[in-house]
Amino acid sequence: MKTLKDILYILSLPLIITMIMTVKGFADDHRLADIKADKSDKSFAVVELFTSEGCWSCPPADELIAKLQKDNQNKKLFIMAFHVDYWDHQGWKDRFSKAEFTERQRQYASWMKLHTLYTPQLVINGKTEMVGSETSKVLSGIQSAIQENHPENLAIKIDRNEGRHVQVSYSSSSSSRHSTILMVLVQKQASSQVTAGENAGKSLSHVQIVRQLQRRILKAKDSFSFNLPDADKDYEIIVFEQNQQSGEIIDATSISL
Amino acid sequence: MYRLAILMMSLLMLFRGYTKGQTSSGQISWECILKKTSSDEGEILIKAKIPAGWHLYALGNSPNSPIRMNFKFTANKSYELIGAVSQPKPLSKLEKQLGIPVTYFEDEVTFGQKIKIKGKNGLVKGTIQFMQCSDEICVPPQDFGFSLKLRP
Repeated sequence: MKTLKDILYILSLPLIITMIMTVKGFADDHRLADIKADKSDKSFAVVELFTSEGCWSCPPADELIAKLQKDNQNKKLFIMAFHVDYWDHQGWKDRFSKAEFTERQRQYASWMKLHTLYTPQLVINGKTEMVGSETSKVLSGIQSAIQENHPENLAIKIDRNEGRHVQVSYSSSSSSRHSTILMVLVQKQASSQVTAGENAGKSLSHVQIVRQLQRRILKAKDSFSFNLPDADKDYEIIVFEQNQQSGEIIDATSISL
Repeated sequence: MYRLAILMMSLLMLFRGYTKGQTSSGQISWECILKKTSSDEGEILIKAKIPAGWHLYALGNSPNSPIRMNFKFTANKSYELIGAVSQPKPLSKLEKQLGIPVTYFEDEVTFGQKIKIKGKNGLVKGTIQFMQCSDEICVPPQDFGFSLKLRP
């Protein structure tokens, strides 16, 4: 009789674990839907993912930001995927990677006093960081960010959009010192062909890939020029103000091209 | 009672989002020693201790993959390398992302480099470039420099 109880007990464990996982999954789906439907405009969430095609543990994080981007109605959710270059070498290169994106991640490590870089790392509003594939943590981090209260002080408009050349200007009513303004050209979708291994010929898909990053000292207004890498792709420009001493993001806005 | 403890632990791990790959505690440590095999020959043994939940990529992975793992020895008159660095048989798996089979080690591994000792009180200097990942994160390739005295 005792043995039967033991067996039942052992069998119940995986069942309990599966049930908890299912509940967690439902909770995450609910959070995801809430974030994407939020139109309160109280605050914003700037989500920066540091990732690479050469990092084996990155695909779940890439999938998570793809879920956030898909059918997103929240105009205050800004997603950027920075492809770092430290996995590039010899015969292998992530075509979206740039040394300056790795430099940006180093800057966060310094602001946040972290011992090492890692991928996939996700930073929210320049203040909190986490493993980019930890769905519950990421979603609750975004939820807390969009529930804060922030005054809107940034506006962006397109001055010129001809062929590959785009000129964009911003105006800011921010009074904070030590701020820089960052303008980021983001390609909304991309896919890369795998050239080696058993998946050769298959494609890896990405979303919200940062293609260009420009930064200057914050002014009341200024304009930036971009040359689009491929004219036939969909882009957006995300502009945000960041405190250069703490890394905190003060305000952000975006415009689709 | 202990069954209850196990159950509580499992639940706690699930709710806390058990992360076995945190960066601060996940550093691989290295140890180098010289084992003399005769009066003028020896083997440099380079041992890596790999924290639980992490893996160290093995030698011999494709140059068309992002994996970097190599040993560099600075040449000098006091010693000469015999052959290449040896390693035990690594574990192997197919990395789904690029469909490349990769080889790696867990827990502990010792690499060996045979040398001919040519001078007295010489010094073997070198660098290990290695890469480590957990199931959740990868940290950038790192360089570990070592220096080993060749005692007569």
